[in-house]
Order: sequence, then structure tokens, then C-alpha cells
Amino acid sequence: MAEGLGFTLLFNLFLILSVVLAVIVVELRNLLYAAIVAGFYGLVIAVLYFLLQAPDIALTQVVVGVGLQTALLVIAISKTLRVEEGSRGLRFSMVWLIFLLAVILIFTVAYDFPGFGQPVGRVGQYYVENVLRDVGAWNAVGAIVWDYRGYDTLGETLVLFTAIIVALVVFRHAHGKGDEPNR
Amino acid sequence: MPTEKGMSLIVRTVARLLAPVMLLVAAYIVLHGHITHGGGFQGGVLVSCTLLLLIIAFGVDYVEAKVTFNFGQVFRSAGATAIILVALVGLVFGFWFFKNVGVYPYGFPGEVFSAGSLTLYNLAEMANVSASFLVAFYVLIRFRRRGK
Amino acid sequence: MAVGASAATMAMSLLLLFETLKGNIVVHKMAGWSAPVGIILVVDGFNAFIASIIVGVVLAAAVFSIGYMRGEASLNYYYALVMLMLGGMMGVVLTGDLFNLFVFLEVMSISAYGLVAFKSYEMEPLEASFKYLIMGGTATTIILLGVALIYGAVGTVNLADIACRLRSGSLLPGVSGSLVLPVSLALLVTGFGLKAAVFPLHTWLPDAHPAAPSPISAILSGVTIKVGVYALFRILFVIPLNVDFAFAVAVLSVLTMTVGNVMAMLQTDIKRLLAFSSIANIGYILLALSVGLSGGTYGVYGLTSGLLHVLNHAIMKGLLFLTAGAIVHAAGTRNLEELVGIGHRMKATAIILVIGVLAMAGVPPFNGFISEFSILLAALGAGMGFFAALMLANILLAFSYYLRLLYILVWQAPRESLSTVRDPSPSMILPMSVLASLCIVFGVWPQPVLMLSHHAALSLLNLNGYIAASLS
Repeated sequence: MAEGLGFTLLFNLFLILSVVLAVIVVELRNLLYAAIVAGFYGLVIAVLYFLLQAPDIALTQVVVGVGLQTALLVIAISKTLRVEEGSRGLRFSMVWLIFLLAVILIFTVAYDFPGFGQPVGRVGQYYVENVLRDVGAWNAVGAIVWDYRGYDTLGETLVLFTAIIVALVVFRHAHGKGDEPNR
Repeated sequence: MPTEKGMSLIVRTVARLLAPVMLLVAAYIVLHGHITHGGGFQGGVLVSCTLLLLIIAFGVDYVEAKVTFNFGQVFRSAGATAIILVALVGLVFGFWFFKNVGVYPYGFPGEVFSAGSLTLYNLAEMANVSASFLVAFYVLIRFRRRGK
Repeated sequence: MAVGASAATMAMSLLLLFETLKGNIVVHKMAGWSAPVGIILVVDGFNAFIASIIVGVVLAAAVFSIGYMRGEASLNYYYALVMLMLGGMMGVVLTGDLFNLFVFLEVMSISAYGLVAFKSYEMEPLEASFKYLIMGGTATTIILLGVALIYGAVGTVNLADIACRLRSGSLLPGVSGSLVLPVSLALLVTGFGLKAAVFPLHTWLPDAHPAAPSPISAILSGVTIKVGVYALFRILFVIPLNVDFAFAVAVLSVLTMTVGNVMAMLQTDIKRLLAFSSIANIGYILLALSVGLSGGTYGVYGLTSGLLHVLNHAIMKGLLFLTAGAIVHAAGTRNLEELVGIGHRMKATAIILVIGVLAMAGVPPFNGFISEFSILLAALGAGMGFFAALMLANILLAFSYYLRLLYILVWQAPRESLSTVRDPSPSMILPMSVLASLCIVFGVWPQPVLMLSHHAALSLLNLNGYIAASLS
């Protein structure tokens, strides 16, 4: 664990920044700006992952949260409304619901889990200690993803596969089956 | 819709310069998936982001002429099938589904050709993920609201 | 090809069922890593029972689809999604790993969203699918949170290992489970309850199930919601209970069945009526679960009758949705007022419809009677007389609206507009008649299925055997 005042300051700075950016995303009425700010928010989260020494997750967060998610949101916004309309009543009730859930989770974590930075994990311990002997891969995360828990990854691949088929089914009347789109 | 015509010369030049670099990084992430951070998924997303950059810069027609919709479909299914096939090899030779059997190069930890089937899985996942998101981009960009 | 694949899966799951009937528990270790490290598939009597039901209904629906979906575009996507949904359901049911269960629940749900929206040239399926997507997506997120909390507390996601650790009270160092375990259990129950359409979270079902193509409605109503029920059964028996869950589940079950039945009475849309009736039947099964949770001899009896009702409801509701599909396919409308007397024009379909409706209404010679009656007896025996009385009232309510359905569709004189309607093609009649004959056979001769479900209930309760087999 990286220790010291500098780390703590940096970490807390990025935590506060992520909250500020999240509030900005929610409050912006221009959805295009909101999507761009959401990209920055994803970047901050990626830095947080990196500071917590999870570079694998950080890499995924960068490519998905910054690249892919922004792109998909921008495409979706260009097809629909750019500026949010209507009342905000529903959104406030949703915010309260999520707030309640977050409070429950924070209390759970604060009361029942050990303090920040203490090693936990029984199975995780096994992975770290035995990965070189078992799989022979330096990247323990890769070994977990494709060897110890390869079946899960197959499932996730199927999720993506299914999702794309669903997208094709839903939009099949906009895009023909072959190369020629119906324009 | 700007994605159908492409953008200005500056954007095109930058995209032309950036795209090979991004592909190189993606290849590194995928091929070194078992040694350093990342793997098939991250690399695949990066490849699809590169193609998205090209779509934005040069227009969707330009890119779709080079990498067709059907090619994406075939590539995507081939990736998913390859994962299952590699896993089935483990079932046939090693008794358990997904087992990392000695058929594949075991190598020395840290080499490019090591860790058995992990490299193959990463390559197949890269094919699946990159082509999947490409197909999704095509579908979404071509989509028009009804009645327009 | 889809039919062949599901037939092959059927054969395999029946093999598994016979293997588990001998008292064995089949374990497959993915990638050769044993339990807490890797993922394992654990098949005991309970798993195999549910898996066989799932495959049976999907097979019937796949055969039915050949005739029903003829003329639709992009049928390759359709069958791919059906097979992916079958794969997802089998993955959920057969796995012995909590996170793996979540992954395959996602596969199942996403293909279900796609199949509900399959007729994407109409507005209603898109809207229903979007509603299903939002609610189902929330449910899976909540389930993921629950799984994460459990992993944080116990350090493992293997079901048997979780059960073992929690029973011996050996959480990870520094973790006190007083808040984590109830919260994670609540999150899991909420998520799976939404997938099973339990009362306050049922609102997606009456939109999604009627909007789907009819074979898909049969799969969704017959088995997909039962996957949620399966997960509830498994979770509630694996995670040790400090609280008396039986009463809470009983209250939920009574609310669920009452809402389902009362809403079903008010419907004028044949498929919507059947969808609300599915909610009511989930209520019956949950009442049996609560009897099972209260333990004792009647607990086993309650679980047996509940699992029998899972089987019977899958057959009956699958049959009824397929029949409704045949009727809708022929007449082109789902409105009951425009379907008056259609039975006179579709004789074979009408006979099958009468069998299915009578079974659903709980009339003695059919299978629905057996399981509903035994749930009632189990509830009475376990001292839940109040809930049993409410369930009896609900069954009578269901009887009334099913009688109304029969009166409208079969008894009344046919309308002029239906004069050209004919019976559907043999490929549609075949799965319907097979399911209908199963309704009669399991009603007249219930011993084999009773034996099967009793075995399933016993293996669900045999947690020590499950743990021993998983962790070996």
C-alpha cells in the first residue's frame, strides 16, 4: 500500500473531485456537455483505481468509461434530444432512492468491515500466492480471468454477444441485414 | 449528422496519425495480456475506439467500405466460437472444461509465449469485443427515428 | 437446429436427473480448480429437477415457434436468442457459484429483453421491453451489490463454501457480520424477487409477457420467472437465517397471489390475463416456500408441493400461452371481446384450451389440483391456517375468471368476423397436445412426479451433503 501524506492528500483530492464531477453531470441540462463531463468523471475514477493499485481495473475504466461510454452517449444524444426537458420531480425521487441505498451501504461497510488498507480475502490470497506455479502468468488478474474463473469470463463474453444481438434485433428495421442500410 | 460526412482536414490528419499508435497499444495490451495489465477485453475496446475515431474523422461510409458490417458479424462470432473451442480442448485433453492443458506452450513465466491458453483466449476475446462494438456503432449510427 | 439443440440438452438433463435420483451429486470443476478457488457446477436432485422442467418447456416452445414465427424476418437472431436464454437459465440453475449465477442471470435477462422486443416494428413490445430492461437492470445491479458484500464478508463466492463458513461463523478477520449479512441477504432477495415477479416488484411482468411472441411468453411465464424462484429457494436455504423469514415470505406470497388474481379478473386481453395469473401462481409457490422455511415434517411436505407446483405451473402456463398464441395467431387480436366463441372454429385448439384452463383452475382430474391442494394441506399442517384460507379464496377467484375465459372462448356462439379462422399447423398442435396430455397424466397418476419433487425437496434440505460434495 502506498502510504504517506502525499498519497492521502492526492487520494482525497481525487475523491472530492469525483463527487463534484458527478454532481455536475447530474445538474447539467445540456446532455452533450453532461456526457463529456461524465467522461472526465470516468477518468478521475480510473485515477482512483490506479492509486489503489488496481491498474487492470484502471485500464478497463479508461477505455470503457472514458472512450466507449462517452462515444455511445454522444451517438445516443445525437439521435434524440440534446437539451433535457420536462420537470425534475421524478429525478429527485430517484436521487433520494439512490441516496438511501448509498447510506445503507456506507453504514454496512463502515461498521462491519475492517479499516482501509488492511488485507482481506481468503481466495484472493490463494490466487496471489500460487498463480505463478499454477498458471505461469505474471498477470494474476489475467490468470484469474481466463483460468481460475474462465467460465465466468465465458459468461461475460456471452452477455456482450447477446447484447449485440439484441441491439441488432431492436434496430433491424433501421439497418438492413446486409451491407445496404435502408435509407 | 457529422459522422456521415466526416470532419475537417485537421481532424483527419490527427486521426491518421493517432490510429496506428492506438492499434499498436491495443496489440501490446492483448499480446501481453498474461504478462502485464490488461487483456483481450481492454485491447478489443481500444481497437473499436480506434475505428470509432476513424468513423468520426472520415465518415461512416468510408470506414464501412473497408471494414464491412458482415465482416464485423463474422469476426465477432468467430471470436466467441474460438473461446468455446479453446475451452473444449481443455475438456477433451484435460478432463475439465476450460482446463489449461499442456497442448499449449507453457513457456517460462514472463515470455510472450507462456501461460498456456491465456494468449489464445485474449486474442479471441479481442476479436469478439472489437467487432461487437464496431457492429453496435454501425447499427446506432445508421439508426434513424421513425417517421423521419 | 434450435429444436435439435434443445432436444440434446433435454436428453442430457434427463440423464443428470436419473444420476441424481440415485442419490449422487454430480460436480464438474471448471478448469480443474476445486471449490473455493475455481467455479464448480453442482447438480443435486433439486437442480436437475428444475433444469429438466426448463428444457422441457423450451423444447415445446421451440417446436411451436416453427409454425408460429413463420414469415417473421431475422429468425436466425430469434433462435439464437432462444438458445442463449436456455443457456443462461441452465447456467443459473446448474452452477454452484454465486457470482457465476449472477453472470448467467445476466445472459438470461438480456436475451429475454431482446425476445420481448422481437417484434420491434410495433410500439408495445419496445415499450414493454424497455420497462423490463430498466427494472431487470436495477435488479441485477442490486444482486451484484449483494454478492460483493458477501464476498467482502466471507472471502468466497462459492455457495457451499459460503454456507459452510457462515454456519461455523468464520468470517474474514476484522469483519463483523451483524450488518453485512442481513443487508446482503436483503439485496439478494430483492433482486431475485424482482426476477420472480414477487408482489411489489411484479409490475414489469404484465407488460413484458403479453408483448413477447407467444412461444417466448410461454418460456418467460413458464420457466424464466421460476429461475428467480430457484435462486430464492437456494439463497434462503444456503445463508443461515437469524430471522424468522417464514412469516415475511408468507405475507409476501399472499399479497402476490391476491394482486395477481384480482388484476387477472379485470383483464380483457387474453395474454395479459394469463400473465397476471402467473404472478398469482408465484404467490402459491412462495407460500409453499414459507412452509418449507418453517421447518419440520410439514416443511418437507411444503417444499415438495411447492416444487411440484413449479413443475405443474410450467406445464400448464406453457400450454396456455402456446394455446393463446395459436388463437392470437389465427385471429390476429388479443382482445377477448373479439375472440368470442373462437373455440367453435378451432376444434382441436379448443379441446387443448379446455384441458389447460381446467388444470389451471384447479379442477380435480388435472395436475393443477394436486399441487395446489397439497400446498393448502401443507400450510394447514404447519399451522398457517390464515394464509391457507386466503389461498383457498384465491384459488376460487382464479376458478371464476378461468370459467369466464372458457365461457367467452368456447361456450358462446362465434362472431361473424371469425368465420375464416382455422386450426393451426401440426407443428403447433404437436407441442400443445404433448403438454396437454402431460397435464392429464400428471393429474391422474401423480406418483412419479411427486416422487421426483420429494427427492428434489430432500436434496434441497440436505445442505451437508451439498457442502461435502462441493468442497471435496
